[in-house]
Amino acid sequence: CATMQPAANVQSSSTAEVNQQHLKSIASINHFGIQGRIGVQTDNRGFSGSTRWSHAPDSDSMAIFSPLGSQVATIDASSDDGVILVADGKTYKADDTETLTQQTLGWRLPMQGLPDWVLGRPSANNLDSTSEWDASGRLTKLSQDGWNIEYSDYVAASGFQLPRKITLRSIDGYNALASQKASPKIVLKLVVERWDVIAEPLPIK
Amino acid sequence: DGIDSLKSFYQNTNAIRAQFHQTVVDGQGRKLQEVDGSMQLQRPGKFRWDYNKPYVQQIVGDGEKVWLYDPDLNQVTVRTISKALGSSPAALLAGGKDMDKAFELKNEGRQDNLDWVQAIPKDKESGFDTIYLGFKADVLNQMELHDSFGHVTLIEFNKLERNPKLNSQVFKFSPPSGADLVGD
Repeated sequence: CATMQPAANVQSSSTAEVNQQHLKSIASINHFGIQGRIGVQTDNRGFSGSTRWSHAPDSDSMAIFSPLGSQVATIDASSDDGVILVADGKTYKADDTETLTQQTLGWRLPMQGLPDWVLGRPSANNLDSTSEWDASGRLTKLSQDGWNIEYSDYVAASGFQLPRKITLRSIDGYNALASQKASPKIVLKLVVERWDVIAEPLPIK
Repeated sequence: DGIDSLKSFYQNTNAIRAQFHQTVVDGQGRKLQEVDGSMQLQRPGKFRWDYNKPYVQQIVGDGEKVWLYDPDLNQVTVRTISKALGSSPAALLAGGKDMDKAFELKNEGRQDNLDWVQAIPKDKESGFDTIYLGFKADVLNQMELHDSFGHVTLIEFNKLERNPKLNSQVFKFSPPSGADLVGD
């Protein structure tokens, strides 16, 4: 589960403790299912449709549907055997989701950080992040690993306060690996219609 | 048979208005999605699909461009009609005489008292492997869209009016202010 790390230079309408309390309340979530709408905007193309995504600690499986309900792609990522993407009847494989989706779908899905970001918490792989939060400690803005993320609505689901509307904007010119040339500008929007959450009790250290 | 129904449907129907119920089923027959809406169509090339419940989405073909508006995402995705329409289901319905350029048509005979025809899109870009149209007395009753994952989108039409008087504003789409506009 996500380790709590102090967020740097924070200005907010509530004290850091309220945010820490909120982050603690969602720290035990490590399995979830999402049914929702997904929108993609890059310089020259756009897509909107729906998605079903199930997440476990070391694997993600996501299906993307067109507006007419036809399945556009499935993405299965797991820590031990990489990423498999199926689209147009063809199967593609790679080590990471971001490059594979960029190559095959023309837009990139940051699966590395997304499972934490979508829950409304910074990703745990101790990358520095700056965040802002609202009066009840829920993240309203987060920037981490080359993305500016905005949370414009929350919903109560199985007792947790979870994001309902999330917008991710890539930070221009940022590239995680020095070798990569800057990846193209992209906006991803996710509207969650249904959360299914499983939270294991926190291990007592 | 199915092809005659399709041809006669084209000949004496140049506009349609109907309610529809859309169900998406996966390969194992599990229901993935259900949505209700209404559609209107004016040949050639103009159509409008309003999805109302449980989510709102509008797909409008104004003869030149196809506009797709998703209010939840506050996004309008637009494509020029030649690329988008090509061999999409909307093209099949709104299409005119050059149907056999975009689709290969095959009779599928009669089943649960509908005459069926299969339309195989020639251009794979449409996202569907094959489309089936079911007619009752030359009036379109059902459409089945099969995609490459074995999913089926079943669209059942009801209250279908043939050649209603449609006001042309219906097929004009102006992006709501503040919505993100994306696409060519």
